[in-house]
Amino acid sequence: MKNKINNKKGGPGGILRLFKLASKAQRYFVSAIILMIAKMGITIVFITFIAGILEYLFLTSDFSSLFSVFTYEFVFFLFTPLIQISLTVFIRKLTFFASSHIRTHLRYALFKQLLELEIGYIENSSTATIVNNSIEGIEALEIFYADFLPQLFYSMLMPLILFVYFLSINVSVAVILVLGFPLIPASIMIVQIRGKSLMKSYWDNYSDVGAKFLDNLQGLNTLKETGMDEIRENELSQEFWKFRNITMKVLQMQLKSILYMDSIAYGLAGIAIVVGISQFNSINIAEPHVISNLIIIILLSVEFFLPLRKLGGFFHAGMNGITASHGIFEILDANPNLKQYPNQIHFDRTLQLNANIQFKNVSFSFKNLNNSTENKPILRKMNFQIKHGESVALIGDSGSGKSTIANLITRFYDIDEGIIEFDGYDISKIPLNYLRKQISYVGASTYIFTGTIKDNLKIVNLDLSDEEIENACDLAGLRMLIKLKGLDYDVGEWGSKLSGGEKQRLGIARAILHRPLIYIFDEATSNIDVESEKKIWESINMIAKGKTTLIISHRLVNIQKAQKILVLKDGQIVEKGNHEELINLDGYYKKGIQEQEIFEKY
Amino acid sequence: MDISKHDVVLDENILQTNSEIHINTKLKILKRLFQMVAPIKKTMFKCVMFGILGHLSSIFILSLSAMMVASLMGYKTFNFIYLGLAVIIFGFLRGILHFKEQYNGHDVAFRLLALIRNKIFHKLRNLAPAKMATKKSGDFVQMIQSDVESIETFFAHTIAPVIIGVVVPIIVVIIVGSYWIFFAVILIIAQLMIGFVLPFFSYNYGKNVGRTYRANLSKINIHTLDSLQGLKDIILYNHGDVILDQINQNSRSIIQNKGKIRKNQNTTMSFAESSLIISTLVIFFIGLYHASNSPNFSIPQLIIVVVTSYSSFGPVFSLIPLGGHLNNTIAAANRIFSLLDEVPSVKDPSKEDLVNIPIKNPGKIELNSINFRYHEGQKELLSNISLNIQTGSKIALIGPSGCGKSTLLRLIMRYWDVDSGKIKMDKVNIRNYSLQNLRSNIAIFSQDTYMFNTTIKENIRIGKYNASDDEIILVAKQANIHNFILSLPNGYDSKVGELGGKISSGEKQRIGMARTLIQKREVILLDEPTSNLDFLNEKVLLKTIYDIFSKKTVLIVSHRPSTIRDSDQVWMLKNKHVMVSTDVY
Repeated sequence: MKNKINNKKGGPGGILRLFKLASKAQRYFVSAIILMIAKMGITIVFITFIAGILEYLFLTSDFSSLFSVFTYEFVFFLFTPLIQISLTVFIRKLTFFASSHIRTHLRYALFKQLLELEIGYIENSSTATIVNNSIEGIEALEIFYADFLPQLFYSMLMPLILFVYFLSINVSVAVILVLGFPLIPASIMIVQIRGKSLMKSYWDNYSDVGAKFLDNLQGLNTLKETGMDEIRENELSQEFWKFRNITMKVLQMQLKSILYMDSIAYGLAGIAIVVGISQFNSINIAEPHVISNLIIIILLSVEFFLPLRKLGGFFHAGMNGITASHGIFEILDANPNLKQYPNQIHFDRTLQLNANIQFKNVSFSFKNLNNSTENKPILRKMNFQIKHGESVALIGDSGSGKSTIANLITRFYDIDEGIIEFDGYDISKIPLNYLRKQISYVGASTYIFTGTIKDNLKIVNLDLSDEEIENACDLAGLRMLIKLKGLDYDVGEWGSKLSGGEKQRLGIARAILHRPLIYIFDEATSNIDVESEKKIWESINMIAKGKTTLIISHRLVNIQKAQKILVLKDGQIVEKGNHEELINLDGYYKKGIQEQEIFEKY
Repeated sequence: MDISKHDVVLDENILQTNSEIHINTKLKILKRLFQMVAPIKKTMFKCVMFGILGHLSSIFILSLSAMMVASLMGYKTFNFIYLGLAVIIFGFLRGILHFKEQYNGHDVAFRLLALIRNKIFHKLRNLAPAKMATKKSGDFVQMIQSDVESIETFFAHTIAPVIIGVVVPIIVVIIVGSYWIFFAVILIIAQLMIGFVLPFFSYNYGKNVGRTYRANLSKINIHTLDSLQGLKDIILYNHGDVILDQINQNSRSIIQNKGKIRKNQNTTMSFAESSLIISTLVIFFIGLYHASNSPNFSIPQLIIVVVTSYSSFGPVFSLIPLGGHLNNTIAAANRIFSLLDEVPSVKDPSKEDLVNIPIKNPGKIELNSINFRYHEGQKELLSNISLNIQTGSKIALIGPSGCGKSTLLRLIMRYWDVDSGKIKMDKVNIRNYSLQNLRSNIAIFSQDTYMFNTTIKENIRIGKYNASDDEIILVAKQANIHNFILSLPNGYDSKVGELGGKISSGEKQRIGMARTLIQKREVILLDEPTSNLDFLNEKVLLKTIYDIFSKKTVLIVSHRPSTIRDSDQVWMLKNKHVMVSTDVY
């Protein structure tokens, strides 16, 4: 039993997780926030100076002595724009740097995680969604880190600093303003909590709409041919409107938090100003510092909440980042990682493998990634051996577990029970990289990367020489193609310029260049036309000579030459032997051969 | 997920939008976007009104407070209670007004977005498949997601702010100008600088950097997709570290692009901030000068003027980023509009030409000296071809690849119209039937079966939307796939997406065959039905075809001798002409 599925520790964590990640660029954020405070300080001084001058002139009406009394102030005014410009640029550079750093880290971590997950994760998810998460999703975090987050901290700190300043001017104004301070983060929190499920359904809907559109688009020809296109269009249209409705709901929720924020900020500012002014009358207005303080109160009480209002401006974009983060964290949290076993064996020149594979009482079942219900077992207490240099064929109906065995030998999945041994070593104790170095796998459809033939082969080893590559291509039956087009032939997106047979041969060339101890051919010709099939099997038989080989095919003619044939049924081996032995046995194998012969003759 | 096989894309020219767009086109695009708002202009009007009132109230909070101070200082006597009350009321109103503005603006935007998304799919549906070649469907997904989303910026964050950014400053300038005309002049210059000049420069500079960024982003998208789809090989051949390196390189290069965009923003931001400071200082100083000279103007008024103008920059500040956004919006809208303007290659007949009767004998098909070429100027693909197909006959069409075999099948379905000559079904030109009527008599089955991301059952039901479960099971049995389906974890209710690589192409083909069978059409067109199948699967499929379609009219295109062996007639298409032969083999 595997208990590693679905232990959703906290689940995709949203904003708090994003905060935690910010610590990776803590220094930059801290410096940026300090500079933001410094910038605010300059604004305060600027306003104070202007208020002071206005008061002085009102009380003295002495315009002529203005420049001599306020020399420092005028010099300061002269430099203010310049200082402000440099501070703005510097702050924005710092936060951008921090956000870039985090985004680079995330993208790296995301792909690393995909490399380490059980292969089932990627085979069962939409690659388009993952690409979207790792590119656009992470880009959407830019505003979150570069603008929203620094602003958030700043708007927490700044009112406290302003509060202290206001205390020195007018206590009652300061007290009224500071009342609003806890109200604002509280309103953000409330919206966060209340909107959690809404955000999740929004985000689900978002990727849903994209996926459904893509699905209908890719199958559009089919839909037109069967006349289902109109029905599907209407369904899709409903999806679009559903998405619109949920978007409006999310938006209303977010806007409401801004509404509370704005009302508190402006309302309290209004009250504070009125309270401040009403403490004076036309007689005591002429006392020193009264007029200047009142001007400061008017201009700064709105500044008091300015950081928060700015935060509101980034809210929309910041929220997009939080939303996008769900998809990212979902991948980072995806659980079916291969287990890390302690006591890994160290291999070197003195200790090398020989390719004797043994399955001992191996049981395996696929885990449903979405819920914890156990699927039916694929392999049940399986025992068999592949000896060094032997070619072994696996046959059986679809679903009998043939390909699963290949995936277990390469350790794309971990088994539930039993042990798989490589020369007597438990494969989970063999370092993964070392294990996979020993195996070449050719499946039913070889994936061709965008690029040249050479690029596609060099994924095995970047240092391969042209000569080595050409030799491998010869063996794989690609001589003609290389002769005609050359190794630098651009194969197009997804190898679109190659035929199915050529793609498979490229896969075989890749397998050869890997120089493994074991070859696995898993339905290597099942998507290929008859003409190419024969030639590819010629190549395979040539390569397999003297090498440990595991061949999986549902077409029995192809495997008759194998030294050992294992017949699988319902996750167990029911017959074992070479072609003649199995024919004599008069069991499943013979029946299969006979059935297929009828078709072959047809 | 295997994207490569089923990707769909339009002719290249439709997606050619990374280049510079001419200014006239840009204006046309903007006009068209405005026209889209027309039906819901009431909501837009509300948005603008609330926006103006909201901004004015935040300015009035301060101006009225300044008036209170001025009045204490002996400048006019205002009613203190009213003024104070007004300040507080404006304070609370501001939040509500802002909410109303934003809500209405987004209401307009998201309604239009749903509408545009709808239009895009509707258009693609009409264009398919004639105007589509096989390639990147990712571009269309990007279109309905990010392109449509960038238009949101226009509807929700451009139209109203621009109007507000004009109206509010005008009101403030009038107020400030009533004290002295020079205050108005300075304020106008500053507001124009921030609200118009800076966005304009950032727009011009942002054009190029934005384009490079997006081009780079889509390059990286492709690289990531490639790496994910080939993940198994990458893991097996220990290529992961190289890919991780490349991913870091990718990140660095988009950060470099983004850095340039950011730099542009930095410059405009800092210029805007200093414009605010400088204009405040200038108004302050000329105010001091005015106060020292004029008997009617003194310090209390100056306080009102300084406070009012200082607090009036909100609306124009929100215009600063628009320059950059507008680039995105126009490029995105251009892509969308070029798609929407595309004309489908075939149309339903006009009322006079329409033959609106059920087709009694659809199996009887005649081709009367037809000619066809894909594009004007290209050489002819089919030339003067005349053929007769009798009801119930099995005809094989062979010939070298690219000779036009598949095209011929699709001309019968009227994906394109022939250039000259006629195709008749049951003695009537197929152009006179409605497309729906014509196509409802024909089923086509080709080498790739597309599996929709739903259950197996629904995938078969694609052939007939109201088919019962029994019907589905029946055709699945006929197509020899019933037992396989039962072996799946959830039988007929297994979801295709969750099966991953568990379905082979042979099994997919058989599900496709079930889908073809359930349509119960009279004319069956088979386009290379076996080319992705290995020997064994080919045989299974052929047996199904000849057993079940024994009474139907079948036209089968193939390059494999084995596939066409049992047909009544073999036609050989070569050099634009057809040779009819009953015994090619």
